[in-house]
Amino acid sequence: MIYRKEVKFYTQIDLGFFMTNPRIVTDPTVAKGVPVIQGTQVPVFDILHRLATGATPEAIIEQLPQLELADVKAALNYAATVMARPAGQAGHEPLPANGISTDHAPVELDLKKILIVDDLPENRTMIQYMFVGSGYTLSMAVDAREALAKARAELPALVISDIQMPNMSGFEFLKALKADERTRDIAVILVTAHHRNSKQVSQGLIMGADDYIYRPFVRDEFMSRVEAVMRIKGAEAESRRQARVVSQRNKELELVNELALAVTSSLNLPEIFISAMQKLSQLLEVEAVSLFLLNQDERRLMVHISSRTGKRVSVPFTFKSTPEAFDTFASEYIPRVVLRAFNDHHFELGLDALSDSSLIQAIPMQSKEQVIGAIAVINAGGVSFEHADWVLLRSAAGIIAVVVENAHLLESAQRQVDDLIALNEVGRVLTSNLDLEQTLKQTTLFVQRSLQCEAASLWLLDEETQELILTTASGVGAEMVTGFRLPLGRGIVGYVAGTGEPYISGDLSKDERHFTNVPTTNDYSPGSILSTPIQYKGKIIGVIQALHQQKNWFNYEHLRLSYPVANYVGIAIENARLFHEVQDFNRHLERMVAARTRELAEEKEKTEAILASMADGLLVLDAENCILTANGAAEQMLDFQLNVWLGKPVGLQNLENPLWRCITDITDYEGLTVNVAVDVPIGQTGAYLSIQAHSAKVRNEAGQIIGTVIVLRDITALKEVERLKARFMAGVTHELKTPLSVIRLHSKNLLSYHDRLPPSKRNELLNSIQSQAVLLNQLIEDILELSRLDAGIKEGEHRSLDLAELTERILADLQPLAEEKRIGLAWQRPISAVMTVGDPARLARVVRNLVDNAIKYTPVGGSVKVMTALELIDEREFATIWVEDTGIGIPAEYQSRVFDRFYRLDPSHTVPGTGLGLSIVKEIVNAHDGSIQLKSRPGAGSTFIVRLPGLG
Amino acid sequence: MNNDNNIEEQDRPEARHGDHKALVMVVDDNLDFLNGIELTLQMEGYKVWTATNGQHALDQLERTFIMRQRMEGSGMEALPDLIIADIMMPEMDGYEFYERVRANPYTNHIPFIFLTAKSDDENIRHGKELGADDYFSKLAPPEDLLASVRGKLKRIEQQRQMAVELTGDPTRSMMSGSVIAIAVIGSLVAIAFCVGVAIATGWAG
Repeated sequence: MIYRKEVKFYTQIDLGFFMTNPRIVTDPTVAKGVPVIQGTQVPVFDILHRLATGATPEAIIEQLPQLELADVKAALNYAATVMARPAGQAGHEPLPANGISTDHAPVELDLKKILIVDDLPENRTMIQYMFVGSGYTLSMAVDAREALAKARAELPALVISDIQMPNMSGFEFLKALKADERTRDIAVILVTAHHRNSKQVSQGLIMGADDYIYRPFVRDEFMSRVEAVMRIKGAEAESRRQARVVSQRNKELELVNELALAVTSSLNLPEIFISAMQKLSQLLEVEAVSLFLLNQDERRLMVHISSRTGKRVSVPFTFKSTPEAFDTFASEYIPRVVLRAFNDHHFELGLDALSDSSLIQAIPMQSKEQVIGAIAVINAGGVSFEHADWVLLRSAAGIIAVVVENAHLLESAQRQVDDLIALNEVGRVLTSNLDLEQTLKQTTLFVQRSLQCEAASLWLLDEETQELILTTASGVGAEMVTGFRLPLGRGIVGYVAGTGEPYISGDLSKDERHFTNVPTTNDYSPGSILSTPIQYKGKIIGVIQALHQQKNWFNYEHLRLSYPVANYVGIAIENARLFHEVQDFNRHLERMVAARTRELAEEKEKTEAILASMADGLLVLDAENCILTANGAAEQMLDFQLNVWLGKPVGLQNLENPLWRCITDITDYEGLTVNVAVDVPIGQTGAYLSIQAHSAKVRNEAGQIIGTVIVLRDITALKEVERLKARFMAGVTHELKTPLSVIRLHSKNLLSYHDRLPPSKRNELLNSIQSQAVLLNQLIEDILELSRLDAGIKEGEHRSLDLAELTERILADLQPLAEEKRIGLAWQRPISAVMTVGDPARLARVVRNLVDNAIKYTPVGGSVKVMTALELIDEREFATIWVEDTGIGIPAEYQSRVFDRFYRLDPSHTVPGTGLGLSIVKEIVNAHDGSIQLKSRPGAGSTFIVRLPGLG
Repeated sequence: MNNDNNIEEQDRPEARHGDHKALVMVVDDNLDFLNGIELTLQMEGYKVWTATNGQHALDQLERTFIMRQRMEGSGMEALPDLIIADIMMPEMDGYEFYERVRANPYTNHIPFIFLTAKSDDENIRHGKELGADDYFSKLAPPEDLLASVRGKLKRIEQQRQMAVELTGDPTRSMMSGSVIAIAVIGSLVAIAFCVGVAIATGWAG
């Protein structure tokens, strides 16, 4: 009943046609016994479908001319019948009176009906009489059996039964009545004739009788007892009804709650839909539940999701309502019942599992008084809904609508967040990228993408020319427009740059500001434009433009999005400009640094080269006396390898080496500079190197000692020179003293013993003094000459000369000396001149000394042979002189010593001479880049050969 | 060079035996200087032997000694009373010559004077260290040398006089001194030998 009422309320279907309509038959020619309108082949579902999709009955008749209006009504009636049919009943049979047939429905007693049971007719008449005018309907039974049947069928509120009855007593009847669940609640008043038979009365009451009446009846008493029982029954019925309503409500609430829990547990729309559908199909125990959402764009209802007995239907619905149906649906907000609407489509709907007798009930979903979709419940034919189900569906529709709305809100919020994130990302990318060109390119691409427009361009203000230059563009015709210039104030760009305000032009064809001469591709003409100024610190530096073919494309959202982009671009451009400046400066700095580094490297190289080529060893130590650096000379002197010892303390070195010991001592010494000379043995040779170590502490600006620099100088040669010098000086002294002592002695002898000496002796002494004086003079001359030679011969005194001619002259000078000793002086004059370059006086001395020596050391009667010639040795020309004597000869062991200073072959000075003659010869020859050679054998004479460089 | 045959040397034996002139030996490689000093000494009344280096001088000493010994048995009287020597000389220098003279017991007593151009402190010290009786620079005044020569000879003469007074034989003192010295040295060697043998055979322990 409730269902019927609700259906009426919601469907506004006229239930006056609830009876079977003979116009609808099941046509065996149609598949599966689909009901059709009699006389036509139009299936009832077709009509219903058309109705469901919004067609009016008149329209249907127009579309299907074979139908009458009554057929449409019949179809509707059929739908209502089928809808309300109990489960399992098919066809178009009439509904039973209690349309809602369930096993568990509570028994409703008829409170106006009273059953009278008495075997005696007079008694029954008596009771009937009692009820006259009471308003109760009476039912009569002659015995307990009939009474039981009637009680079960009619469900009277009260049974008035006699106790004394044939076949079955009143007690037995009472027992049977109470034993039956359906009749248990029926009130029973027992009638007894046994006056004050209290035993009977109490037995009846114990068995469940509500009261008893004694015969004969007193009407007032009788009626009051009946009324009392009836009041109780009325109250019981009322309370039962209310309890049922409460439980019904509870059930509804539970279902709604369950659904609400299911759908609000998530914010993910598909998830919500799935769980809602599953829950609904589960709760309603229906075959399938579908969710339709309103597609505003296509103005159709679209099946969004569908679920069958808890399982999601795998094939999506493709059902779409017609726009008209949609309009109706959307505007009326009423649930519709569509009978087997999908029957003829179920294959393509993928609902083949649905029985042909399915019915669909649709409930719109509303949010803020707007229909956003519908829930369709697909049920097997004949299964009806309870009120609770409808409440649940309504609530579900409301909840889902809210949830969908929430989800939509969330989605849009999410979209906005995403936008912001994207914007932020763009901002980050733009402001972090310092390559301006790339930045701008990215900007236009981003604008184009985020505003969903076809083209975007970026104009920058040229401060000098006051022109806007289209610097970057993307999208349609990008390469054509790049570089285009527009004076400030011209076009929309110019206007925006001038005002500093963003500008949306919804219809460019009507916009006077639009500058149409911007080059573009032929088939592209923008309908709307969005221009946003780019600012940096309040100064306009350019404009971003977005173009779209569609008119009125841009709205506040786009503007809202383009604004921060413009800001970011402003920052990015400034950043890029600053970066370029910094980069330029950096490059400048780098060049300077590179130049300076090169200079330093050259300097260092120079220094290193100097240090490496230094003959002196250099050792640098830090404050902890660790080796910082050393040059090759130092490595050699100290006999160590720098790469091994770098950074290690000197104290770890081999202290057997006196030089290392010396260096260690030096580092311990606190004075600023030290000068020490050390003799270092050279390996096992027994020879020594004399090394002078000079150390200086290095101080920093604060005056702290930060290291030690040690210079090691090899003074071996110097020492040798000094030793030679000292020896020479000793020799000189000795040689000078000798003639002096002779002169002194002779003078003393002459003075002291003059008178006692014979004249011959006096002459001898005087001669000796004379010759000693000459020798002394010669000695001094030679010493001076040697020291002059030591100092070097001046090249200025050199000139070319003929060695032969020079020799000949000297030989002439020495001829008397040779004759004195009766020595034959043989001179072999060369054919041509023997030319050389040199100091004539000194070369003359060479020849003189050699010949003089030869004469001196050749015994009386010997001979001296002199020869000069040009020689060619190894392609070099030499002017050579040979001086050969027949003297005593020189033993091999002394040959090398004859050129030493003061060395003489006759230590007893028999042969007069200073002992410097050959030394001087050698020095002069050496100074002329010549060589001197001695060939001699004791007793076989000697030959001195001097070779001087020839002119060639 | 090795020309010892000058006039003065030729008449040396007569001079010696005639008036008891002292005999001085001069060794120097510089002939001019050697002649000069010889003349000076002769003028001062000494008999002079000359040699041009240490080896010649030593040879001369030995020859004289052997010759005199063969002729007269002793030969001591023929030895020079004083030796003056240069240091820097070929073949054998003055230092070595000095050592050889001192090493010979027959010449050990002869006063020895270095006369040299090597007049630096080190050489003088070295000469004195060796035990030379005097050391003179060739450039020093000849009077100084002569004074030293006179002094040394005077002392020798005093010792000779002393010996004559004691033994009556002017040569005995020298001779006996030498013999005693040899005897003492010989006995010392014998004692040392005995002690050495004793120690070696463990007698001491």
